[in-house]
Amino acid sequence: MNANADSYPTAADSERLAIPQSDTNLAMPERALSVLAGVITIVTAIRNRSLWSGIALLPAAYLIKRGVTGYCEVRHALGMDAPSPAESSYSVIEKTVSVNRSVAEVFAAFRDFRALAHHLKHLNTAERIDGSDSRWRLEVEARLPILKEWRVEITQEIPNELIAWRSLPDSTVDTRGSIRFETEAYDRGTTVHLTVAYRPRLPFFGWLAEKQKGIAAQQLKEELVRIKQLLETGEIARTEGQPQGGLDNPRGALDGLNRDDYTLTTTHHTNGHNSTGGGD
Amino acid sequence: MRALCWHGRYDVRVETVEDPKIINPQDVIVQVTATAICGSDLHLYDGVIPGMEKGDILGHEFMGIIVDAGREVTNVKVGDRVVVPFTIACGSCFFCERSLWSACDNSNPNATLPELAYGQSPAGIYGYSHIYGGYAGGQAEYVRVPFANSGPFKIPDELSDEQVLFLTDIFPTGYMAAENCNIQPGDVVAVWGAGPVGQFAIRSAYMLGAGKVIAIDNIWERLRLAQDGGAETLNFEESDVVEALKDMTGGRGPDSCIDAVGMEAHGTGMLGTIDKVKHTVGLQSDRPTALRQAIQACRKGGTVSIPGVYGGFFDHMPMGAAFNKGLTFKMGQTHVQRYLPSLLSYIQNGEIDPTFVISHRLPLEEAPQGYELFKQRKDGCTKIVLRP
Repeated sequence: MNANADSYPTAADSERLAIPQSDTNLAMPERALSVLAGVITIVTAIRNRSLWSGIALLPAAYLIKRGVTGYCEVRHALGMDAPSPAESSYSVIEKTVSVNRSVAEVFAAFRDFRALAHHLKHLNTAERIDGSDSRWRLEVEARLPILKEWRVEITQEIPNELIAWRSLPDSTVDTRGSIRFETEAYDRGTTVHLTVAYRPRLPFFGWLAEKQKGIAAQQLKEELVRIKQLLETGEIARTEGQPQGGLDNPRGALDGLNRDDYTLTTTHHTNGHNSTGGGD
Repeated sequence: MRALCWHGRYDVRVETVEDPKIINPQDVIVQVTATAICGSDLHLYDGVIPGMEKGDILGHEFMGIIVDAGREVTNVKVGDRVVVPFTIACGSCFFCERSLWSACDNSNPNATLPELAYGQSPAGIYGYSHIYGGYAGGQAEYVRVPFANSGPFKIPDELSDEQVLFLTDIFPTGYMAAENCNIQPGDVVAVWGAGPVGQFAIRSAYMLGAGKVIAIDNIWERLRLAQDGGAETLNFEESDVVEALKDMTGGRGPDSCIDAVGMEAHGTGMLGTIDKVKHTVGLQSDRPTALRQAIQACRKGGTVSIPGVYGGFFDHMPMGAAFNKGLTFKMGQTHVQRYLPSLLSYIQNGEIDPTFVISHRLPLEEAPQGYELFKQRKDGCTKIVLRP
């Protein structure tokens, strides 16, 4: 990632992060079918105990192997690699938010991970690893338990410009990402560009993670907005805990009343007109 | 406390609910001394605004005394008598800094909902659906007011509640509608809807130098009230509005047209019937009869100003007329905070007495009857003030 920082800021953030290409060439449905076909063939062969069944064991084993690894030599030799199958590549989320504050204030807020954990909905914990300021253990609220714990290392930090990270080898989540800060001209605040690439280290689960990406992207966007609100106003708008009418009274207030004939405490002019329409 | 709660179409009830409390450090609690039913509350009553939940407390026009304040409130204090703008604004975002208060970026906790519908979220509004933040409203004994450093506006003791209550919404809304017309001395301004907002738009247009204002409605008390404000009047049931406006302006059309009706216009003619059918079966959310007429009537190069509320979609927008006449459109929720100081001084100088618009005064307990009365436009009802 550091090597690619030279191309900043023209290249797209995801390119800058040098996210490696996938090492598989099969799509998820084909992998599942392949494993299934292999297993069925072996089970059938064991039941039949014939010569032909014995011969079938070898291709069956290959079917299971290509399904599990996601890589098929035959397909590759034929030039039929599936285009960058999602299940083993990273899920990448890119979001931006504009904050009506100076770049120094915005940078400081994003660098204070512990304060962020205090204010954000989906970041539960942020603690230093071995007291280092560049190594952090983050616990996030994720639908997939396997994406919960992130152990990361800050790989690059340019004050008021960039914070970039990469996962540590013992992290269950393989991640790299960056937050880039940009002062908008004509006193229009600071734009924050967030790019997160991530995948579970366990094989197969990347596919699940990619399926959940839409939710994660929405959550990340909401978190950016929360930080923006805190920076701009000092609080986050909320309505939890405000009064609301009871739902236990099934009777409408107007029930039993003739809608055309009210007795009112005070009325002014009366007349025979009874029309609808008119203004707000 | 007692509060008016929404329970569905044509079903609002005064109930005992918990008292509001300080939730955020910039909150205050206001003990409501006067509140009003707004024409836009009728859109809620009619069930045409999405995002309402049973039990929601209504009301966005209210004033009172501050009885509790969060630790970061500095602009007002306990004991202050204030009017509260209906749009909630943080005072420090990109939009608030540019005086676009109703576009505040930070006051809507449910911003995701309107972002899906509108692209971006408007500011939060008291008691006006969860799309606008789901804030409990002020048709209650007490109300929580967030971002109190840029909302509640102190009122001098010598002015009565009724003189200043409409600073919360309809006076600034009518004024902004007129200001949006960019009125030049002698201009003719036509106003669709002689309800409370229309009445303030008429008077504001004259204050801003209009030569003639024409009010369009079908209720004679309202037209008479418009005449009291100096307007000429048109009854849309008795005349072809567009033709009549041409006749009244030497064929040129009004220089500016104000649609103070909005999404639930009383439709006329074939198109009005089609709108009604489409709305009933859910094919169209808004019925824009007044807006279509305004576009059709407006003079070339003129301005169409829209203070009436729209929520969704409609068909047969006369875009060809708008384009070929080179019209300007100005619209939106009112930037109330922008207008409070100047409009207060108009009241103090005696240039306008906003109480002219009040037709009924009711205790809060009778608010459900008030809604029905206002809905049916019965008994000469133009504006109802509620006292908790």
